[in-house]
Amino acid sequence: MTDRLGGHALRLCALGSALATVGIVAVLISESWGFFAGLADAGPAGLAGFLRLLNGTLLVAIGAGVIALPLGLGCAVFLSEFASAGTQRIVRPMLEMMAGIPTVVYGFFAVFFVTPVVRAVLPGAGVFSAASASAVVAIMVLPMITSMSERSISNVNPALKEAALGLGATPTEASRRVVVPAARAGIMSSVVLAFGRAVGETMIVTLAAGTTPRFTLNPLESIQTLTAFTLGAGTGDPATGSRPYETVFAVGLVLCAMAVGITAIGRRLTSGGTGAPLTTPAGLHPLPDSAGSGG
Amino acid sequence: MTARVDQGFPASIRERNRSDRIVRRACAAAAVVALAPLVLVAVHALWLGAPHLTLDFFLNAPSSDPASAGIRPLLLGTVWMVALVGLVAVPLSVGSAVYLDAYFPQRRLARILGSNIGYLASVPSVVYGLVGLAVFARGAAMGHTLLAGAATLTLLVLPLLTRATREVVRAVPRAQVEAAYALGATPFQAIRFAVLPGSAGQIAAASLRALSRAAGETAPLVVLGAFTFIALNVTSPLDPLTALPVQVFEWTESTDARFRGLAGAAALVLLAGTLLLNAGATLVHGSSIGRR
Repeated sequence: MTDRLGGHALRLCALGSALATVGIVAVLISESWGFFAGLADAGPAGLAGFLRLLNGTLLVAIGAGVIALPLGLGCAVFLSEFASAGTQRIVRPMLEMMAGIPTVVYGFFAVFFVTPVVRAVLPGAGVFSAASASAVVAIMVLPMITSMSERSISNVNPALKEAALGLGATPTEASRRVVVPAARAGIMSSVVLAFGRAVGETMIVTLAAGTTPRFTLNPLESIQTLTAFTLGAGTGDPATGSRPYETVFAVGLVLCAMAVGITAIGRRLTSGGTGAPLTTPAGLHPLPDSAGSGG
Repeated sequence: MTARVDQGFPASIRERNRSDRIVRRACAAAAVVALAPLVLVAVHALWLGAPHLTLDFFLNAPSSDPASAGIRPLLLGTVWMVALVGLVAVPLSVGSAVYLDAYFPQRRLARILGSNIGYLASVPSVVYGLVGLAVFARGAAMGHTLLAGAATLTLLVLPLLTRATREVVRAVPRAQVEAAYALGATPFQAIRFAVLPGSAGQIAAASLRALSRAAGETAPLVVLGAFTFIALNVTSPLDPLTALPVQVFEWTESTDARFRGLAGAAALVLLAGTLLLNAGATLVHGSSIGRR
């Protein structure tokens, strides 16, 4: 009796999760329907506003990627190849702590520390600048790039490295030319997933880059991202079904689609690439074919 | 690989050893630069915020007068929401993890859900705010209350927590469950006595991490229309939605420079709270691994 009840309760939990997935997409589509229906009448003018936001999002996210990739990869190689066990015991928890810092706190840090530094170094930068946002978003995604890259570097078959060393390579030559290339798929995947996180980041970007939508490639200017635009929804408190309300949901739907698309690309890289899979099944696995699907 | 052997290696071993050292140092430098922000963020918040960390700061309500402004209702709001999220999200995610991976491994459902959960975890948190606004605040008529905030944060944390819990449950050796069945255990008893005892510590760790995330989330609450300038005591989930991170955002955004120190102090409290929850998770995790 208890068993049957328990079984039903558990099934309900699992179905609840399934429902949430479908529900989120359904809500976004239904609430933004009017916007897309009205887009045909609005013509290119409606699209230009959206493209300005996309420009801001990509400018910040690409900038963050450019800063975070070399640092994250260097840190990952250092951790997995050169650091002593004692150093690793200090660095790993520090990375974990960094990953746990709330993004508003990073936003506060961006406004009162990074922006003044950026403005001192680059005199052209404004009070709000995409560069400052990129730098802090890079800090935010660093732990993610580092830990995922480190895991795929550590997963490279040690025989490969030993073979390189046996052929007379120095330790860093073996890392650079054998180990890191073998882990390429996992490293690329970590960068792509970090890019997805940067696209979705809201607080840092709103506080540091401001809310001025514009077409620009200049990182010293203020821009507005898709997420910053969405954040404005609450402050305005638009009525359900109104034009601003539908617009915000349309932007939300685009953000959701971008996040899912980028995640899909990131996953395909690990499952189709030459590197080792990111996760190795632990213990006796009830689902032998699921190694690739764990994100 | 073989074609590369004769490419680009400097001839002399001295040269190669030199570049070996340079690469090592560059990697170590990258690690230092990557970790420095952790210290900088903490020290910077301390520098600006510490002078404002008085007892009154914790006891007063937010105010337009920086001298008497405090964070009491904000702190209470965050504590309420974190507690509610914990009450709902932890049982739900443990339930679905156990159902999918231990109760009776559901191959197809598990695979479909597993990939869905991964995608859900990648959806930006602002988007969860929109969904919460449409579904909880307006659809379910919860309005701008702590309850609506907690429901939204639960939705946000659920995929992360379910994914982490599933990994823990899956790591329990299948043979252990089978052994319980062989001894005549019902499925429920097998879960109760063969699956959960070994994974409880790690599930607790994952839960603490998820709660830390919920405590620090700002964007969804701003989208839900969180209030900050309220001088109320927060006594029930139906009280107006208010939370510490939202106040950090507003004080940081403020053009009035007098609020800078308050923003620092509030950021410091938030940072301490989330880091403590995370540190708790690491401790619980470590001790549970040791016992296995």
